Amino acid sequence: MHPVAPAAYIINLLIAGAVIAYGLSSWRKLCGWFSVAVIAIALMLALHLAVTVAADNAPLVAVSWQLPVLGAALTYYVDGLSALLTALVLLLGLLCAVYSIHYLEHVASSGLVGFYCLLLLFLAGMCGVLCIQDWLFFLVAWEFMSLPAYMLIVFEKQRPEALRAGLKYFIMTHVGNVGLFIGVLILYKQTGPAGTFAFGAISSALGGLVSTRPALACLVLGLMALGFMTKAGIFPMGDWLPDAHPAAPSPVSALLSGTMIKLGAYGIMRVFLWMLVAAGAPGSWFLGWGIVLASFGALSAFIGSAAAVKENDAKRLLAYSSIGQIGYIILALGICVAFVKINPTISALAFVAGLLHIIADAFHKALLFLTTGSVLYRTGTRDLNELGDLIHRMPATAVAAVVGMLSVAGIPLTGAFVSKWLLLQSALFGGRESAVFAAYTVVALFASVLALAYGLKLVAATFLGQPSRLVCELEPREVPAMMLLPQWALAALCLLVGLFPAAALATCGLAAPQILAAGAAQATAGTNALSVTTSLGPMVAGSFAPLWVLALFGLMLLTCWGISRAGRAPIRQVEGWACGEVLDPEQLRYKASAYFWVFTQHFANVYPKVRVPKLRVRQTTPPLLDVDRWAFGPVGRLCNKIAAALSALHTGLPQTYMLWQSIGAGLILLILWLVWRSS
Amino acid sequence: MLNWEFAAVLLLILPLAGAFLVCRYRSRQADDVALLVAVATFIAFIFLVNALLSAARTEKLSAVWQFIPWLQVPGGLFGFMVDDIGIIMLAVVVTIGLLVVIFSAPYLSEANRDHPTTNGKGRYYCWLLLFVFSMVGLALSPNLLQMFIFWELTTICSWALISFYDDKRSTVAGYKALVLTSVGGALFALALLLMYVPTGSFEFGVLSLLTARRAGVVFLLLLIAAWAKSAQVPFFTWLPEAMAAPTPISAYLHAAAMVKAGVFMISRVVYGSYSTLTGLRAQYDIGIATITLTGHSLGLVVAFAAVITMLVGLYFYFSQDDLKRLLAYSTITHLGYILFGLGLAIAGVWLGFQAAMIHLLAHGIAKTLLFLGVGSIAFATGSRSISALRGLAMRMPTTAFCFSVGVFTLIGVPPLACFWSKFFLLAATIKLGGLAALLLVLCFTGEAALAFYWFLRVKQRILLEDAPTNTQESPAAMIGVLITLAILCLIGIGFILPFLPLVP
Repeated sequence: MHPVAPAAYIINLLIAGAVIAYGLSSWRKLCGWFSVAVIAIALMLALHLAVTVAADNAPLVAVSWQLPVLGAALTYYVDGLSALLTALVLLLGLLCAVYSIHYLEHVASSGLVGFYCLLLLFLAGMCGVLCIQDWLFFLVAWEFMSLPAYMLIVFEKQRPEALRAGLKYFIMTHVGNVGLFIGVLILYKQTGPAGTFAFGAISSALGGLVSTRPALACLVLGLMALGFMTKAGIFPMGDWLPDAHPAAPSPVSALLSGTMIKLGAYGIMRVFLWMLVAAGAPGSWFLGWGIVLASFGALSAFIGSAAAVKENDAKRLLAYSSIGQIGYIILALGICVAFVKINPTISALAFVAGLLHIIADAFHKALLFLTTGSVLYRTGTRDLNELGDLIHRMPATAVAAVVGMLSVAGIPLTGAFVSKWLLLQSALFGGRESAVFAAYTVVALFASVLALAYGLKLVAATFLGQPSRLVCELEPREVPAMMLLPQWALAALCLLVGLFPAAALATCGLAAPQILAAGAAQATAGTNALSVTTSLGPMVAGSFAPLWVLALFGLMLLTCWGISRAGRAPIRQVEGWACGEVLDPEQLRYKASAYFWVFTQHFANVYPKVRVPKLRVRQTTPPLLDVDRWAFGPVGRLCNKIAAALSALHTGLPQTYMLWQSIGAGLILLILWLVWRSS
Repeated sequence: MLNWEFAAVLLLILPLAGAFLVCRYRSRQADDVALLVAVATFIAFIFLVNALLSAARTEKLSAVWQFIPWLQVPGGLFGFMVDDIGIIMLAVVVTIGLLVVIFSAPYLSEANRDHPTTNGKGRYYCWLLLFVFSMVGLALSPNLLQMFIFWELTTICSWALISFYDDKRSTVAGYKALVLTSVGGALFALALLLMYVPTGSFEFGVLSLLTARRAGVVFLLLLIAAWAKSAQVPFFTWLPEAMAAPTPISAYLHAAAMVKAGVFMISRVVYGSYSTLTGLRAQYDIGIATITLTGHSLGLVVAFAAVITMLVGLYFYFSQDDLKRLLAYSTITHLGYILFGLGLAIAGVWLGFQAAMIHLLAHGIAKTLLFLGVGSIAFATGSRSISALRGLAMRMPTTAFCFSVGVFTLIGVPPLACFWSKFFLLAATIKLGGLAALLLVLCFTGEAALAFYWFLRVKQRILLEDAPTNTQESPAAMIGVLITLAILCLIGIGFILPFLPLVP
């Protein structure tokens, strides 16, 4: 038990920073740099925390305060996984904050009040999700993350489509959250009469359910998976992503896709690799749920990537790409869950692959969103059809975008290559146990081809080809250095992970759950600093030495360059020929919509779109609920009638009143006489 | 240090004296006198809270005297009783009363674009302070008889204040409210007789001394009285009409204080029978189900009626264009939440009672904030129509911010105040278990989710969607009140959780 919780420092620092940033919001630059400083300090703390956790090789646990009525306690629990992802979140947060300082000049919001405040709160929420291990407070942190995200999506609130997208995000994410809430509350009820939200007790409650009421346990797991997969953007619940990304400012998109949706995958890990393991579920459960998760993942990887290929809006394309990439991650986690009990080595390999893909995708997806944001900043459009030939006008951005695109496609020497390679290995060898995984290997490979296709489309339509009319008119310049810096840093990170994968793998291995720790060490045994060798049991599964590949690539490029130099082939520059007709150059240009046209026309509606329903309600009161009409009204009128009838007795004639009095007096006398008689 | 009896007497006397004093003044002087009285009342309240906190937990702060020789009841007839739940009610009444008095001074002015008038300020404050007096008396009541007397006084104040603007619409609305709540009052009186005849007492816990059948009848009569007072189905129709009142009045009487009288009475009865029956500090989680006569089934009656109210109220959200009417229906559903919690407590889950008390406080603050926010909007724009208002966030940033805080609190965004109460309610329902609880959970979460959606949409529409409007921020005093309430909402966690261990 650690006396103070370092994770609490990080979260409190971010929240305090948010409050101060709100106060500073009149001075935009100052506010921006202040937020950058706050995130930088938080990142230092997170790195320190990660190093401590890695050095101790044990999680840090600290209870901050308690809510005894509900049996909840704010428990900070930081293990390798939490520490790694916290550092990742804060690193991306730092880069996006630096990027935002200039980027926000272009955002046409009526007031920039609160952008950094919301950004810091968003980061605080994400750190809370990662570091808190008490279900009640976890859910509070989860909401603390979801709400600033909503506010950031609708940040450009004068645009109606931003408001619609925000509403869609809000509804879908809360449908998932309700599932999560109900799942947790069902387990809470099982923890005994007093009830507690502690992770351990909830896990054992789940264990009890697994053995006594398996159907209910399945329902709970399904609800929780639904909640996390909605946030992760898995098909078919990921429909909010393609609307939210174009609406949000680019650095926010980078954070949403780079980090927030990954926390859905984190939730899946915690439920299936920690809770279900602690619950002591039998192996068949793991296999079954693993196949379910892997199926969703594979489906999502395919459909997301296919939908991205036909998209002509850069940010929508990237959003579908996120759906595809998170599909890979969930596929890897599915394989990991399926083999936890059967074959820990395959399981560990899949875990490492999934975690590494989280990191790699965070880097390249954030990178591509930032480069798209830079293009948007200079040209004001996200429509790929209206762009072209920006490489001569924005060369530095173009280079970064190319690196990002190569990484998305999983080309060797980038981080995503290693993760996809490991994923395919684990799926392939998993296929020996259950043929369905072999099929998913093929799906994943095909989705990789699609990823290359949309990556090429994005980069080629933006940066290569003939300049469009818009580009010729605007003549965009390179973005400021403060916007370039985060892009280059992310590109460097993509390449670093790809060139030195052994270090990344070792880090991911440290984050593996207890049950897989041995398997993780074994799966990547034989790895040294420069090359990765995977082994499954006695045999070597594969080996990859990126520096050798780099050297060969270099040699090849050099040869090509030499040949082209030696041949001295002249390059002719001519006008496009349209059979003699004089056409607008814009019509002759090879536009984004023309890419893979044969393919895209068949996949035009591969991802079904849901519209936010417009609630139409009758303006009239239904007769049943109009209580006034059928109950109070008639009763009131009846009372009036009776009163009117009674008032008829008031004739106004003294004689009548005298008569009443006499009759009354007679009655009283009669009664008195009867009483006297009886007594 | 003042002793607590003196503070309680002051708390009762000050608003009464103030009411008679203020009706002599006009416009500005009336503002000042009313403010003075409200502040003095608030100070007396602080003394009382201090006394309660410094007293030992076991000590009972109650002083009751016999006033009427021929109506001898054990324990005494009239007096004061201060305990945890009474203090919660007093906190709502006195604090919000003070804020509403501050808010009213600039609101009732020629500058108000909704209702430009300064006529009748003396009358306005007189009834308002009289209402404070009656609510304080109600919260301090040691038995049901005294509660009944103050209960009827609040009805009269409500009638006078709804009809304040003297036009046809408000007069009719005031009369309707008077009639419907008086029907409830009559049933309350009947229940008093039914309990007095066999036991000779008006104590809160007297229900447990009756035979099972009589206790059931008495409880149902009290429940119907509470439904009428708290605008529950089927008696809810008077509350939307009552929105003809000036907005500060709607905020105070028809959201924070008067409509709470019904649920407060029921919670007193629940709490009373619980403590009488167990007589000791019983185990934490056994409600009165195992002990009271009709226990479980009556609790479910209360809970299901509350859920029906919630759903009916929700249905009306979608067809409202007037912001105040929307808030009125929201008040109806939220009073349903409180009764829902009390129903759970009767059915056997004590957590429901705590949830109800937290919600009483949290809803009082949040709804006042929203009503006063609407008041500020109407003051500046002259409109309360959801379809007409647009883009207020640019023109009235502070009001818009406070209104957003109110909306977020009301719909239960964690970690704001109402989240905790709703979460407690949900946890309590799940603890109840069984098929009925499943049905209740489904209805409750469905209602909460749809209300969440609708309020967010309304907020987005009137505050965010862009449109140039020609308005300015309201006067500083009004903004100050809004900010105070927003802060109270934001610090909801620390503000509410200390009250949690409400075990008799």
